[in-house]
Amino acid sequence: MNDTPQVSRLVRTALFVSDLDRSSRFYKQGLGYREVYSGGELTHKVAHALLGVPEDSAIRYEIVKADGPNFGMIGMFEVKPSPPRVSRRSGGVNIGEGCLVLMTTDIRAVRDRLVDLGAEIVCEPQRLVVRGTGPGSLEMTCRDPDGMLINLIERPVEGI
Amino acid sequence: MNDTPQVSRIVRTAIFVSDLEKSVRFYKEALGFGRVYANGVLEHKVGHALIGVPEDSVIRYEIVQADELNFGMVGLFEAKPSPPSFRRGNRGANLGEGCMVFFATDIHAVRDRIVELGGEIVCEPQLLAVHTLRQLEMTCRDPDGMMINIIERPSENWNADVVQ
Repeated sequence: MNDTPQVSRLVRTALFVSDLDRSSRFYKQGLGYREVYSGGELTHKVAHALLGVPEDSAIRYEIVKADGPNFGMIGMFEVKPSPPRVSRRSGGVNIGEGCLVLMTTDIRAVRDRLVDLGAEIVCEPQRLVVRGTGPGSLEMTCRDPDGMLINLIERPVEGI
Repeated sequence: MNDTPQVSRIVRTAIFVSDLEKSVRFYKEALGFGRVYANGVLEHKVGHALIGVPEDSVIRYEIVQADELNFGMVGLFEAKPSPPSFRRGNRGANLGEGCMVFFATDIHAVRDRIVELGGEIVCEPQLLAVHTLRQLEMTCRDPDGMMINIIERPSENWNADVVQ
């Protein structure tokens, strides 16, 4: 054991979804996360304890990734019977919620694909200027079919 | 423009917090995200539109990272006046929420630091069997309720492929 245990950068963000097949389509087709890192059913009872769901729940999952190292992945977990849905205000952010931040080479093309796949736009692509960082970047925010917030930032390919 | 636009892996997960200093302390001291990638005040009104808060809100932020790479980071955003809090019906997973997953070399030491800094345990470290893997895992919530899953793994295996 070590006095200063190391913690990795973000390995993935796992999302609790109502329909695994729909979410898998959304992230594979909408964002191009086509490579499956892992998937299947979680049957070990410790998984139910970790998720805080009843032991007789059925848990299916899929973890998908963009090209490259096994970090910054997206996990999707479907629990049946479904746990309660978070209650939030529509539109903007809520304290205690997370937002996936991703870069893309063509924000408008990705925006159209996400809307076709069931995303709800929060803010259409607009140029955000952050003081001291140059001319800014086109950014947008939307929610996935279960309401998870996504922020897309347009960058040239060498910036991704 | 490109017919097949590229999308990056997750650059960061941004969290909307009630107290920026408290959250910065949590992620720096409990998880070791000690490097600051960017911080300041978002003054441009497009920032308010993107987050969906009134234009006269004050938005402060700090983006922290575990190492020198600019992805897999955690962004902490505080808007004042505060937007409403997420309401969760289940102490564990709720539909529509996310859970950040990290590896750690010593899960019990990280667990103790999380609790000292205001995290709430959902599940204490236990051995989880997935496919051929056997690994210690725990889940907790940060001071604003964002869910976190810690998996104990030696650092040389952090980028390993899973064996199904």
